[in-house]
Amino acid sequence: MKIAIHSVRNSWKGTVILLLAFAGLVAMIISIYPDMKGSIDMWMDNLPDSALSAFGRSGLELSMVEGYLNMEFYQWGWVLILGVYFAFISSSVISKEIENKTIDMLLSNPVSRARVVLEKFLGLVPGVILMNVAMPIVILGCLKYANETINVTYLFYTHFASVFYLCAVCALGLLFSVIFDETRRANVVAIGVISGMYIMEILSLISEKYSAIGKITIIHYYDPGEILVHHHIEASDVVILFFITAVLLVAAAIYFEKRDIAIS
Amino acid sequence: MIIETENLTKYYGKIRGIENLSFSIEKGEIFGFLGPNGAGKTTTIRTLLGFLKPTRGKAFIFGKDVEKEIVKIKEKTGYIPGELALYGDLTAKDLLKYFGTLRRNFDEKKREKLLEIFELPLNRKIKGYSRGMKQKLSIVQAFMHNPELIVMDEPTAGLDPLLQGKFYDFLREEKKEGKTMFISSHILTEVEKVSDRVGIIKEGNLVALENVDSLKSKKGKVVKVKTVEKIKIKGIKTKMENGWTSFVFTKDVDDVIKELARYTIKDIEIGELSLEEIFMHYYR
Repeated sequence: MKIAIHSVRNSWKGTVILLLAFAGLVAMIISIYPDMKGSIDMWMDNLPDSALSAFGRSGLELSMVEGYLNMEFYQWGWVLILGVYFAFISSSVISKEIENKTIDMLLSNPVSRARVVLEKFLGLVPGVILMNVAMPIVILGCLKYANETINVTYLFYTHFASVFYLCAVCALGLLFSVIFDETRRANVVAIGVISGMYIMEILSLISEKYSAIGKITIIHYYDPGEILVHHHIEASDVVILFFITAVLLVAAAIYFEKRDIAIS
Repeated sequence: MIIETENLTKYYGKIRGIENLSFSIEKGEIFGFLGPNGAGKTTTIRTLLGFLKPTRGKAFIFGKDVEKEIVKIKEKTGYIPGELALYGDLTAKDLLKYFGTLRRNFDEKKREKLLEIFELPLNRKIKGYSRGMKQKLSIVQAFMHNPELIVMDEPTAGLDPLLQGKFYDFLREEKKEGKTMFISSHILTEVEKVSDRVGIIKEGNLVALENVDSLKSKKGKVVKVKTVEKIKIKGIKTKMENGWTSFVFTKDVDDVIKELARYTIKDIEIGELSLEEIFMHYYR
């Protein structure tokens, strides 16, 4: 666990900063909700369904505070921005050690490369959990202040499923992080893939023609709107996310074990 | 045998790294691995330690295949990398603590002893370290778990002469405890001070493998002489520089003096052939 702990020390600052930024954003979004409540509904009603999809997948009922939060925050802030953030840090963890050449020192210790991959992943999990524990607390606090209520159980489920989603994102980033020697390249590819998946998923909702392509994205298996607004959590989605994480980690470990670590 | 390689070959795509290296190193031996920059020293070390997969051939450390049991091997091995990349954000204290927890046989007393020899500002972040300090830190970490084998890639680079002396004294002490050491260097005179045996690598191939003593016994003197006339000795290549004529003489000293007696000598220096000059003379 020592490599994991060392890894946490390296990334906790960024995660805390992002958490504070998100808390501020959520506080702002909720604070304007009472004034927006009536007017947005009318505006939304006039939009065609396909245009509505562009704002998110489901649970866009703005008359409910859940729907409002889902559309204004979860669908893009959580799924996309936080997904991109974790893709960014996870794709850096090993590529950075290769780029900075510290990997020589690290692997001079009696640790296998597979263990390095696994521990680097475990080092990312506390950040994921911190986000998913702190955010519901912030939201509940803000809602109380705004005199709105929300179903706490499904808020919890939303973040429970989110842990699996973000873990899958981290595993994907980690795979790119063992493939590329340059951190920047690993970052660009990981962020590109996550953003691309987001676009594919939205596209698959807008047009029937593309409905199948959404299924190959990680994002397809985590829809906060379904859980938070419609109170429906699909157990198979969580299982699939868990499975994706495991497969990506095994792939990363095998690739890392096999590759040359050249330093010139 | 501590290290054994059989036709160890590494290509980076089509680019040659090392070719058909076969050598073995016995327990308690200090092996100097010499060659100019780009000859394949680092490639050899990184292949031995499992960073690179051999294209062909085999390598064994402690009788274990480096491709299969590298983690077991590393439990008893210390490594000083050629690239001094340490975690800049950590203090030396934190780094030693971190690596200490990853090493099975980490020995706190040994670390303290090492820090007495190689003093370091332990509470300073490593990014503020000078090159010499980083080198000292990498020496400390390589020895702090009492490894049986220590592989060093240019370990004296960045050390001042005083520290180099200390370092070699330290290596001699470690040798007494039966440790095996593999030291690469491009400076021959450096490793000749501590090595029992040297291997010389050139363009990826091992061109010589000899005892330091027998290498030194390869007779020869360097003669530098300042004369009024131009010197010409049969069968010997001379070099002129700033009025000095220098040449390597491998026969009897008496012959040199008698040969030179024919000239008007203004000044003369006769010295031992360094390993470097032996190398230039015999293996070029």
